[in-house]
Amino acid sequence: MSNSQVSALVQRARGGDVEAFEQLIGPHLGRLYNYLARMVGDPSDAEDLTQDAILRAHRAIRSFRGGATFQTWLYRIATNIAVDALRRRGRHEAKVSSLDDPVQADQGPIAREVPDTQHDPQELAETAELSQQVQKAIEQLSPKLRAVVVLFDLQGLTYEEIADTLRLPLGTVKSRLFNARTRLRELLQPYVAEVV
Amino acid sequence: MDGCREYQTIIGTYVDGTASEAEVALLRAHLEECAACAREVRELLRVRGLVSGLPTLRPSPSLAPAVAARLRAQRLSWLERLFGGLRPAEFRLAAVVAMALIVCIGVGVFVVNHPRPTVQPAASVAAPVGATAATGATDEYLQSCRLSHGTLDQDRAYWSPDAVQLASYGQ
Repeated sequence: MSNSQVSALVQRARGGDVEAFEQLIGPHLGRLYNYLARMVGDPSDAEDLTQDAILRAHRAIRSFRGGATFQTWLYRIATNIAVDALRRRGRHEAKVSSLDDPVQADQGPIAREVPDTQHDPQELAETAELSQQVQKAIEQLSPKLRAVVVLFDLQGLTYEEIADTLRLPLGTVKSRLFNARTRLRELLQPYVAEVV
Repeated sequence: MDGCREYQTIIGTYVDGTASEAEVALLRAHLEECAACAREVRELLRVRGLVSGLPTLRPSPSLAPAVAARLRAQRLSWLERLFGGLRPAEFRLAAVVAMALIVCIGVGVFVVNHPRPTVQPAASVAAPVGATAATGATDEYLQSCRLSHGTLDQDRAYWSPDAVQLASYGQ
């Protein structure tokens, strides 16, 4: 979607056109969910938070100035929502639910992760186990380190986009990313350490 | 490893894949001499590979319709339309101004509807002989019982024998 198309849809959405807002949100829904799921580590929470983020964006659409891209503006809202949720969870203690749990759909359970049909089951099981360990390690990072590493490595945002999203100086983004990787290196020692 | 600190920033951007050619050349030269940094870089690259290799998670098929339904149900009120475009700081300022206006209007309405009672000063009524002693006793009574709601002069005027007499004439 081009910038002019986004601007036109934003104008319509500001005037109360829900359909225009849905067109704006549509391309970001899946990515927003993936981001929130990786941030909070709980699939059903992530769905609720995705809805909350979109509703909050709808209410605040008039505050979208256009200086940021619509995507970074959405990620900013989603990050605030995720951090609030993590803070609340910290107070009320975690409920444990795996990202590997299947989605309960009308037609039955559906695997949440996109299936890989090119590898053998043994390899897939190992990959799933490894994914779980990596996700657990990510969840042990502080929210501010977590947001930076998830936005960069999983959502594919650039330093500049992350700086814009989190309203941080570029240097802080780089140092947080480095700190996050260093911490993950400690947490994932059995998987990354070289046998000397 | 202390001398390696200057390479930390370059190691970070190298692992991120954003180092310039000059930085890459500088780092590679260092890594050939420093086994510890070389190991750190390899492990950090593995970490990056593990994180970026995580599969994309997809929401349940019911999420999009649920979002659409809630968006349609969420009709913006006139207040949200009015203030929805404000940033938090602007919103707080607007709220403070609005509160101040409400308080001012409330005070104004109260003042208009509750004018202060005007009390005739006791001196304007001719005090009969012997009233002075009675007034002094009333003052003491008012002060001891803390019944005074206005100024002492107002209470004195209200409780004075003259005022009682004047009231009884009206009946």
